[in-house]
Amino acid sequence: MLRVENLNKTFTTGVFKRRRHKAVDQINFTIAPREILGLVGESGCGKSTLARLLLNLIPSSSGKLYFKGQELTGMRGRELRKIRGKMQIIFQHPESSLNPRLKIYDSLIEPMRIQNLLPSKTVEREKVLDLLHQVGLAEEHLTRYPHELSGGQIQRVVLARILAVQPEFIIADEPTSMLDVSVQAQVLHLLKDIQQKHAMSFLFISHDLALVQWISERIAVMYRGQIVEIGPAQDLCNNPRHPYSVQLVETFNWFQENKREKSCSSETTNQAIHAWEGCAFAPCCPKLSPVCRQKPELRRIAEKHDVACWHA
Amino acid sequence: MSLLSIRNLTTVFHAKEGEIRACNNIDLDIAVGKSVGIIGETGCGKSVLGMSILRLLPRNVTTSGEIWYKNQNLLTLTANQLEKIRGTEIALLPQSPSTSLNPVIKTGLQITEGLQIHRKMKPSTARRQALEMLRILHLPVPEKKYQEYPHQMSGGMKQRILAAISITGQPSLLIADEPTKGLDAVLRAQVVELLQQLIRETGASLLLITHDLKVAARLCDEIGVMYAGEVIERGPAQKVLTEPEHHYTKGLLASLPDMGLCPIPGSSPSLLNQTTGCKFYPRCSARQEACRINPVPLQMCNGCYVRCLYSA
Amino acid sequence: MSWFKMLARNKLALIGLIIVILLVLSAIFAPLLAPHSPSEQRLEQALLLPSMEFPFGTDDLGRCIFSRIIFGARLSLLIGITVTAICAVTGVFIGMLAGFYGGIVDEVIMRLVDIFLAFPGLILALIIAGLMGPGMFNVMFALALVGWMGYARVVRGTVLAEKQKEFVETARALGATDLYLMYRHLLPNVMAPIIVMASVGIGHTILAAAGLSFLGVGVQPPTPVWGLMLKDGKGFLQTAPHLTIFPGLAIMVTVLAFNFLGDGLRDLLDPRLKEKRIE
Repeated sequence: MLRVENLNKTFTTGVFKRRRHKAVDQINFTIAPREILGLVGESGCGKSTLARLLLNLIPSSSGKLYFKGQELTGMRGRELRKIRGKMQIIFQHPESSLNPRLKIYDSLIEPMRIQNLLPSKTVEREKVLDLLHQVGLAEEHLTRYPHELSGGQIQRVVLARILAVQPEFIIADEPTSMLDVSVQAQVLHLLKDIQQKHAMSFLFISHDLALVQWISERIAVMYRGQIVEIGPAQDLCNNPRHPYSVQLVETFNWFQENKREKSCSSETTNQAIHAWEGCAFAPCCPKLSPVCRQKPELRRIAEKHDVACWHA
Repeated sequence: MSLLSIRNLTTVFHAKEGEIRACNNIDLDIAVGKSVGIIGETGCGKSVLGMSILRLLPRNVTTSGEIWYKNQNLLTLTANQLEKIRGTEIALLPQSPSTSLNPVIKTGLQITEGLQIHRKMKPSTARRQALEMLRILHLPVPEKKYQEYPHQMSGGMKQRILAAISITGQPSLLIADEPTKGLDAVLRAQVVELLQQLIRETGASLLLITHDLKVAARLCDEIGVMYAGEVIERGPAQKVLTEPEHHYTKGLLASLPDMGLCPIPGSSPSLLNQTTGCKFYPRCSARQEACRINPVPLQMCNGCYVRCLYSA
Repeated sequence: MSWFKMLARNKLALIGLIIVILLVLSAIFAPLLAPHSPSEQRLEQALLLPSMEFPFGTDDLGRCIFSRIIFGARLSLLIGITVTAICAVTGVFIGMLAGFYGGIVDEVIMRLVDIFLAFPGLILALIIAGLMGPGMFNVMFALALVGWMGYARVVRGTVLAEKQKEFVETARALGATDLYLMYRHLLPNVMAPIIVMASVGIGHTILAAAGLSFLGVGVQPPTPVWGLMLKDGKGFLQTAPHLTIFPGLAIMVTVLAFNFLGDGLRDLLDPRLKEKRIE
C-alpha cells in the first residue's frame, strides 16, 4: 500500500540557515493493505513530521514515497489532489481539527465537495446521516458548532469526514491523547471496527506503547528521527531488542518506581547529543560501548523484526 | 491531624440554562504531609474543587459548605486574609509550563520575587536561597539557569522553575492541577519525580488533581474518584486502584490501554439539571431500579467510602 | 434576532448602532428631513442663533446649518464607507496572499506595507490630494491609498496563525486547492477582526476626510460637508461659535458611534464567546 524509501527531512533555522535539525532521518518502511502499523516515540522524535511528509503536506528533503505503486514525491496539482482523497489523517487536537465557524453538517459535506463526490441534494442528507451513524453520533449533532461538542465527539466527526471520501490509508496522529481514558477506549474500538469493516491500512502514531500494542499488528519505534526497531507487535513488546524499546516497555509501572526511566532526561543529554556522531541513543544507553561511535543500520534479527543496534 | 478538611462543599455555577453543580456535597480531608489525589474525567468538577479551595472562581458562582484550613474557614475569610493564605500557606502549581512564566524576565528573578514578597528577604539572601532551591530540584548548572530567560529552557526545566516559584512561600499545601496533561511517558515520569522531590523537601501536603490514574498511583497516599460533581469513591490509593468498589472506578481502570481497553458505554452526564439518584446509573452495568431514584450516600465499605447502593 | 439581542446587551454598542442607523436614514431622506435647501443663501439672515426656524442657526451666508449637516451626512458616510470598503478589501487580499504563501511573497509585500506605514498617513493623503487637485474622488483615492496597510497586517497575522491549524491541513489533505482554502477556511476566520477594524475605520476615515476638507484639499464649496463647514466657520469662532460647534459635534458623534459599534461587534462575532464552557 505504502512504501517509504530513505525519507529525510531537515529543518534549517537561524538567520543564515546554519542551524540544521534532522527531524526525519533515513526512514524506510512499508505498510501492507489492511495492515495497522503502530509508530511509537516520545514527543519531538519526529513522528508528526513523518505523518505530514507521508501525506505530502510538507516537502521532503530527500527520499522516495510510493502509494499503491505511484510515486508521490514531486507530484503536484490535480494529480496530487486526486490521490489525496485516498490518504487521510486524524490529528491530535480536537479543538482545532474542525473549522470553528462551520456547523457539523457543513464540515461533513466538505470532503465530498472537495473531491467532487457530492451526491444530489436529495440524498445528501441521507449520506451525511449514514456517516454520522457509522461513527455513533446522532442527527441532533448536525446543527451544532464544534465548540459545542466534546473532544471524543469531535474525533468521531473527524472520522466521519474521512469516511466520506472512502480512503484506503489513514494516518492517526495521537488521535486520543487529548481524550479521557474511557472515551479513548470508545474511540479506539471505533477506529478498529471501521478499519476492519472498510479494509483500510492504518498508520497509528502514539507515545503510549500499550495503546499501540493493542491496536496494531506491527510496531515501529522511533527515536530522534530514526526508526530504531520495527517488528510484530507481540514480539516487540514481549522481547524488545533495542535498549530504547526496552526502556519504553518498562516505563511507568504501577506504584513502584522505575530506575531506568530517570537514566536519560533530555536536558542533561541535549548538548552531548549534538556533539555525538553515530548511534543517536548512545549517550543515554546503558549498553554504551566504543562500537556505538558508528551509526548502526536496521538489520534483521528475527522474522520480520529489524533493529538498529550493535548489541541486539 | 488533618491540614485541610472540606465539609459539604457545593459549588454552583449560575448559567443561562440553569444551575450547574460542579461540586456536590464534597467531603475531603488532607492530613499533614500526605498526598491526596482527585481523579476524574473532563467535566467532572475536579478542577473546580481545586479552584474552590483557593476561591479563584468567577463571580457567578456560589460556594457553600466549609473548608477548614488550620482552624480557619477559608470560605468566610475576607479578601485580605485570603491574600495572606495564597502562596504562603496554599500554593498552586500551574498546569502549563510554557505559558505560566513571564517570558521577558530572567527565571532567577521570578523566583527571588516570590521570596522577597512572601518571606521579606533581602535581594542577596533571596538570590542565594533561589540558587539553593534550583540545586535541590536538580536543575543542571543553577548559576547559569538563574540568568536565562524561559524560552531558553526546555519544558521540563520550566516546570522545575515553576515548582521552585510555587514553594517560595513555604506552603503547607500544594495544589497541582493536571500537571501531566498531554505529556508523553518520559516527561510524565519527570514531572512525577519532580513532585515527589518537592513534597519530600518541603514536607508539604499535596492535592493532586489529575485524570491520569498512574500518576495518582505513584504520588498519592489517598485517592478520591470524582464523577459528575460527586466524590463516588474515596480511600487508600492502593486499595482504590487495585480493588475498586464502585462500578465507575472499575470501568475507568478497565479502559486503560494495558488493562484491556474496555470502554465504558455512554458519556459523562451534563452537570446541568441533575437527577436525584446515582449519577452513574445510565452507564452502569450492574444498575437496578432503586439506583435511578434514591439518593446514594457515601458509605463505608471494605476500608473505602463508596457511593453505591450495591457495592460488594 | 439573537444577534440583535447580543448587541443590545452591550449598551454602548446599541447606542452606536442606533446612531449609525439614524445617520444612514437621514442621509437617505435628507431632502425630506431638511427644513431648508442646504445651499439657499439669505444674506439678510446671516449668523442667526439657533431658533425654531433654523434649529442650529445660520452661517455667514445665511444658510441653514441644520440642513447642511443633514446633507453633509450623505457625503461623509459615502466617503467613509466607500474608502473603508476599498481599504478592507485590498488589505484582506494582500494580507491573505502574504500570510498564505509566506516566504518571498510575504517578504516583498510586508516591506511594501512597511514603506507605506513609514509615511504619516494624513500628510501623505494631503500631498496626494494636493498633487491631484481638490475633488471628492481624489480625496477618496488618497485616503484609500494610505488606509489599507493596517488591514493587510492584521489579516496576514491571523492567516499565519490560522493556517497552522489542523482543520486547514485536513482540508489540504483532502485535496483542496489554495483558492478553496483561502476562501472557505481562512477568510471566515479573519473576518471578525476585519469587520471590527472596518467599523472603527469608517469613523476614522470620516474624520480624516473632514480634516482634508478643513485644510482645503478636499471637497470644494459650496457642497455641504462637515469638514468644510468647520473651515468656513473658523473665522467666526468668537462671534458665532455655533458655526463650528454643530458640525464638530456631528463629526464627533458619528466617529464615536462607529467606534462603539465596532467594540460591540468584536464580542458578537466570535461564536466561541457566546457561551462559556465550564470544566
